[in-house]
Formats: sequence, C-alpha cells, structure tokens
Amino acid sequence: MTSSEFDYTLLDDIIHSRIRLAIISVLISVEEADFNFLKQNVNATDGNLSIHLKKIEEAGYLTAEKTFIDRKPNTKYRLTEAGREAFEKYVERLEKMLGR
Amino acid sequence: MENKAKAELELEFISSIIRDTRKKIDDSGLSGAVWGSLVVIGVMVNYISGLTHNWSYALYVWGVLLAAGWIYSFLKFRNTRKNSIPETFGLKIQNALWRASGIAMTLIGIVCSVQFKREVSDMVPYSYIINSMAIAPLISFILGTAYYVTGYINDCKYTTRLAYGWWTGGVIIFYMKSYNTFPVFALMTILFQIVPALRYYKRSKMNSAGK
Repeated sequence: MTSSEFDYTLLDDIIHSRIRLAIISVLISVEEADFNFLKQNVNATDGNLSIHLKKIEEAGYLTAEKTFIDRKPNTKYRLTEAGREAFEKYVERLEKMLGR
Repeated sequence: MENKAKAELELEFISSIIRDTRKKIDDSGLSGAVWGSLVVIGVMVNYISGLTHNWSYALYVWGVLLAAGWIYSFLKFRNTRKNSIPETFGLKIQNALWRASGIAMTLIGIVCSVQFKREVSDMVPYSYIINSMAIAPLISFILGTAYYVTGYINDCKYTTRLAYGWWTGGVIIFYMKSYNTFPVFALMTILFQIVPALRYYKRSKMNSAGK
C-alpha cells in the first residue's frame, strides 16, 4: 500500500479523537498525571474528561490509581505498555502517510 | 491529499501538546539561584567574621539563612503539589538527589560551624574527625556530584561540566589555609551555581513565553 492510497480509517479509533489524543500525548510526556493536571492541559470539562478517560481505560491503554493527598481524593493516570505501543503505532502510521 | 493534510495537522497537534506539557513540568532553575545567593551571603559573613575576629553572629546568620532556604524549598514543593505538577521518573531522581545533597550539605555546615565556634573559643573540639575549614571543599565535592548526575539525567553537557568546576575548585580550596577559602568558595558559587541557574531561568521563561 503506498502513502497516497493510505486508508485513514485504519487508525486506532481510541486514539483517533482530539481529546483522547491530547490525553495520551500529555501522559506520554509525564508518565503519570492527576485529573487536574490533565484537565488544565487538555482544556476539557470534568465530565467530558472523565468519559474519555474511562474509554481509554476500558481499551486497556491507561490505568487509574486512586490515592489521597491532604485527605482529598486524587486519581493518578498512567499509560500502560499497550497504550504506549498503540500511540507509537499511531504516530508511525501518520508519518507513513506523509512518506517520512 | 486530504489525508496528508489531516496527518500533518494531527502530528503538529501531538507535538504542541507534548511541548506545552514539558514546559509546565520544566524546573525554572530558580532554586539554584536562591540557595546559591543565601550561601554567598553566609560565606561572606564568615569571611568578615574571620577578618574581624568576631564570630558572635556567624552561626546565627547561618541559622537564619538555612531556615530561609528550607522554607523556600518547602513552599516550592507545596506549590508543585497544589498545582498537580507531575514529575517524570528522571525529575523524581533529580529532586531526590538534590534533597539528599541539601541535607548532607546542611549537616556538614552545622557540624563544621559548631566545631569552628569551639576552635575560635579555644575550647576542646567535640570531634577530631572533621576540621571546621573542611566545610567549603566538602560541600564543593557534594555539589560536583549533584551537578554531574543532574547533567547525566538531563543529557546536558553544560551541567556536567559544572561538576568539574566544583571538584577542581574543591581541591584548590582544600589546600588553602586561610580565610580566603570563603571568598573563593563564594566566587565558585556565583560562577558554578547562580549564573547557570539564572541562565536556565531565563531560558525557561523564554520557553514559557513561546519564544
């Protein structure tokens, strides 16, 4: 298959959404981040972010760990190995489309 | 053609998110400048005390300076936690290294200062293990180690080279037998800590402004 006949629908559906791509890109950069940090960097509302985090978690691309900081609940998110691989594959496919 | 344009936009989007996130977790380097300035003040107080043979205030000045430094570090740590700024694995190691080095340097500072106070008062030293004038070379060696590891973690040759400055300077002041060790150590702190920290701070501010 050449780059010109590349099928865009072959891209991973979980990652191929603006907000989920943003979440995964943030987590690739920091290894681990809590809900507030993701919210600030992704520019999403609480509800919207929760839904997309759940979707990524269900796909097995991230894990959530609930802890307490100063007696306040704090959830930390981290990409799984499968999540990292999926992201790498996604970027590779995009680069392939551009013939890089 | 349309696919290519979309792919280009997507890659640009990913790069911008990664770039913006890294800017937020990037350390400004201000801690180095703050701690360095406090040390320069303390060391110069020691120098003046040595020249005037009046050591009444030096220990108290150090107490205030060290307390100020640790309060600053604590507030910075609290601010980082409050703003949910995450740490990468490398940053975690780096922060642990500097905390441990800071504690070791504080202990050396306290032990040597207590010893020094007894020496100038012609009192029997608490211990013969450490000489009070060893404070500057010992701290230089610890700083050299901390800079070397920091440079290695961040793959920054400039930071690694600062370690050689600290180690070489440490050896030189180890052989100095007068109060001149203090201004030399102050100069080393300015050259190998404050200036690089301010340089890093300036670069970090420029990055934040997107320049």
